[in-house]
Amino acid sequence: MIHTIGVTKVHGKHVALRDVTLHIAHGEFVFLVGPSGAGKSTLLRLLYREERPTIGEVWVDNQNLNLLKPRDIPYLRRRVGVVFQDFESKLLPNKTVFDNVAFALVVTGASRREIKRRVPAVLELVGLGDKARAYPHQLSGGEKQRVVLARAMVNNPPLLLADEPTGNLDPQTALEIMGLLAEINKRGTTVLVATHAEYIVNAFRKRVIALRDGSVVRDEERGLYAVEG
Amino acid sequence: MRARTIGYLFTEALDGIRKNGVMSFASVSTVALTLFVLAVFAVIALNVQHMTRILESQVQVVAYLKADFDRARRDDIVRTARFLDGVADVQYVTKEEALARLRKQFGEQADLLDAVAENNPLVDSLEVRLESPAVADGVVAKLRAIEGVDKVLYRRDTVKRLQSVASALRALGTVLAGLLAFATVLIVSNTIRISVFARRREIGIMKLVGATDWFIRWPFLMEGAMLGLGGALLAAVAISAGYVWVVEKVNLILPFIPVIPASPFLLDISKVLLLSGAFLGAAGSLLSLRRHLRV
Repeated sequence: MIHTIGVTKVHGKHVALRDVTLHIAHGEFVFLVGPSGAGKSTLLRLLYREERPTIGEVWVDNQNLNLLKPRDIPYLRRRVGVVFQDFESKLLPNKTVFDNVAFALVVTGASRREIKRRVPAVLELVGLGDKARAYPHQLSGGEKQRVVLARAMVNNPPLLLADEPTGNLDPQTALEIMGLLAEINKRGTTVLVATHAEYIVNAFRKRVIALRDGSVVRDEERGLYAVEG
Repeated sequence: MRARTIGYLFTEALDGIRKNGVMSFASVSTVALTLFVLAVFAVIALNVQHMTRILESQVQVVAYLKADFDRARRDDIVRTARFLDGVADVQYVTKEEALARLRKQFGEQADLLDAVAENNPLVDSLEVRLESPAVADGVVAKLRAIEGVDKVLYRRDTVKRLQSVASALRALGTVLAGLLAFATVLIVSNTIRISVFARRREIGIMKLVGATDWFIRWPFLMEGAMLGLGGALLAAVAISAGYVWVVEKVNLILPFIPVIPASPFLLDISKVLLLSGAFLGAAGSLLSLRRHLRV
């Protein structure tokens, strides 16, 4: 699903990623860990083609993103769901939960019937079946993040990227959201979560890729946030 | 594009105009003013052209006969004029006919002529059609020499003068049109820039969830076109009302001046205005999107 081959990304004089080579198979659940500034967000941005690598190749879903034409980016985005830490700014305050989620379908030109079928289903999936008509300001932080998650999933993407999805949530809610990501993963979606929430990584025991100063320093199955000892 | 999608884009565009009230109003007013000035020039230029054409189609040279001209010599003088080199046709117009014609031209104001009708101040005349404008000077000189001819008027001068007025108006109008169109594009472009800024969150989300560039651009393009169209509508109403008023006045005061009738002239002008408005608006929007919406 994801292959980065010798990827280096330089922002001005700052080297954000240094010779990163990674392979993530279809259906995997992977934690991307490391301190702030380690390059986690940069790596994710390369994967949904918000940025391009300075050196190296990035492949997503059998597609070499280096060769992706700008006008084809939207079609990549429909196959890659993205969730952020600042879910607050990712929702349209004047639209209901239903319309916020439907937005991702509307912009792809989906039919009304399609929207009516898929939005309630995905809201059900994230546990917001009864909040369809609520507005964002009526929701808790966890619920807002679920709306963003529902929107990321409504196009049924094979890959879901989450950048600190629980960063602004209390531990209980964070675990719930992460459980939801695990649930989505069980249904076949490849999930890549960037986080520095140690307790979550340790609780789930999934594959862990650790970045430090832009380099991969660890990649282990069923890993912990930090190496013991 | 699906009807639903079009509906969505339309709603978004209207929403943008509503949210951005003051700037939208400024844009519409500027577009209106621009197009109104353009329309005024176009209407005047077209009318001058119209007048020119009518004058050209009319008699080119008129020889007015002396007031005491003896009508018994009518056939002689017509024949003399007819056989001059360069003359295509000659028509003898009696002063009664001339008065009747004038009456017709005055239309509703014909009563004004009653005062003079008793003692017709007009004179008999020869209307001379030339084979070509080139021979005019020679013919005019020879006509003057004929006995009984008082004055010879060569209307070609009037036509020429009108033509130069028309072309000056056209040139001035074109320059002004260019400048005003430029101003219109700029103000619409600025309005759209603000609209883009107001919607940056929405645009970001749209990009994120895979909206194509054109899907993102369309509402702004339509917003620009609607601003242009709104302005054009105001301009069309203003020029139509103004023209109807002016035509009425001209017909009243200067009934012999041939103006273009309001219908269907104003309809055509309005169509052109609406099209240009929409076009200028869309162009302004596109300019802004190219600079401020890197999608």
